[in-house]
Amino acid sequence: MIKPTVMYTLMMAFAVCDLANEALAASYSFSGGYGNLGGFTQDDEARFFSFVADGTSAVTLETVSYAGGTLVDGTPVTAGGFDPLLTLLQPSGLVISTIPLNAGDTFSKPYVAGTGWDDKDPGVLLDSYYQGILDPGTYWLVLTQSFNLVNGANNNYYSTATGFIQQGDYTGALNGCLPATDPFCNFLGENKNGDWALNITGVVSAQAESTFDPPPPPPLPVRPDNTVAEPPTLALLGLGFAFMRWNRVRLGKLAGRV
Amino acid sequence: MMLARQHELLWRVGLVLCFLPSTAHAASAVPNFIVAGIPPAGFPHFENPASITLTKSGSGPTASFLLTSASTSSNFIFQYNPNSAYTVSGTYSLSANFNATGSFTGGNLSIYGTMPEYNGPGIAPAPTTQNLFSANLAGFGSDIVPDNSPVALGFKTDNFSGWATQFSDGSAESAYLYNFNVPGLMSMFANPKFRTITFQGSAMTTVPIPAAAWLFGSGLALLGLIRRKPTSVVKLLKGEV
Repeated sequence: MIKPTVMYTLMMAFAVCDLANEALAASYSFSGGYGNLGGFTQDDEARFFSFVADGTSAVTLETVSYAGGTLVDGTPVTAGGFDPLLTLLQPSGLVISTIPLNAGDTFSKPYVAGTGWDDKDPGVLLDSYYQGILDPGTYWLVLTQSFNLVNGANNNYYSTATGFIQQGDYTGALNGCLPATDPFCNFLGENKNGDWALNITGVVSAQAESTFDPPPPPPLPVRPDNTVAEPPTLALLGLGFAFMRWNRVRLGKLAGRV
Repeated sequence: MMLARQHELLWRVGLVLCFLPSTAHAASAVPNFIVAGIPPAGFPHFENPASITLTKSGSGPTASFLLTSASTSSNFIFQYNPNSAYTVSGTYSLSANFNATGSFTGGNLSIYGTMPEYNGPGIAPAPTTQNLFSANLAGFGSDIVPDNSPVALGFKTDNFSGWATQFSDGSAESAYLYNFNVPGLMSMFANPKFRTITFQGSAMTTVPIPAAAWLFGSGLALLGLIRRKPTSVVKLLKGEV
């Protein structure tokens, strides 16, 4: 039997915890362009963000710049931005994944007919979207244009030296816009612009970063039996000659005794 | 007397072989690739920087994917063992096909070029451009989880041909593509807006163990024979036979 005072104390503790969790899970929004600075000026640009997940709240990462929408602070966002790509990384630089993170995840927020989203192919929504619970800790998020993925040299670690797989304005030639040097050409061959808008919700904190310069990646894991994978040839040769020499001496002594 | 001269000659040949220089002599380690159904990497192997491109053709259930890889440098290495490497001048190319669901349907790889400085045991150098190693791709797997094994695409190889397989025992080997965003590439199979993508990474093609193992084995057998019949050798020394 729990005493009423103890019960009251426990209830208060749970309530405080709940309040604390609610206080921890916050929402942030970021944008670039829309008549202001910060929009992409060419296809191969990237924007970096960091955020902290508490391990219990559902984290939502979503762009709303391709099809239009609303930032979490209530600012309306007009459609027309480039086809965005979000990549999640560890602070070490290790690429966790581009979104979608897991098999079965949707590529974008489920389409809702009649919302006025500027998307000519509702079956293939181009805004990037993830919602789920991440392990507690700090994460980095990179916004690029599709499909400017992190190259991931050094066992899939990001570094400023190896960067991303695309250079310059690559989308026009890739997707058939005219002229071919036109930036922000989506996979349907439509010209878009360099505006972008991002919501990060359900996190402890989030901020825009000017760059991402992780520490040098760890060495590639090697086979533990590497040194004995195959006997070094010269060592074998030396061993063979040593044995022949020993055998010769032995035979010589034997001959002397016979 | 005759046998003593033969021994002397062997010693001299051995010394010459021991001191023949390799074109490169850097310690090398084999990545700990762990991909289900694919043999691990080992020695000897070809190792080269490579571009890795995945391209989608068609759409819907009739779509297909072609994965190609090519060396990004005309000079790469044949790593005979952890301490002996030889320069290869040539090309590396791999081609693998996948169906609409991303299932592997077949492919091949080839390494053409020259390796004039090779001085390892058993196999002659390859002074002119030739098929150094070709193989059928018999299986595919991927490791996209970053843990104690590198993220990689792995292929099981068989039906070998070329310079590096003169002493092949026919067992399956492997080819790996790594040092790039493997999860990112694999996610493209299910992405409806995907067309083509290219990464820069590395390739490691393990070839069947050539001469060394055979030489070592036959040498041991010969030594064993000599040791078993010392009296006959002694008789030889004494000129009784």
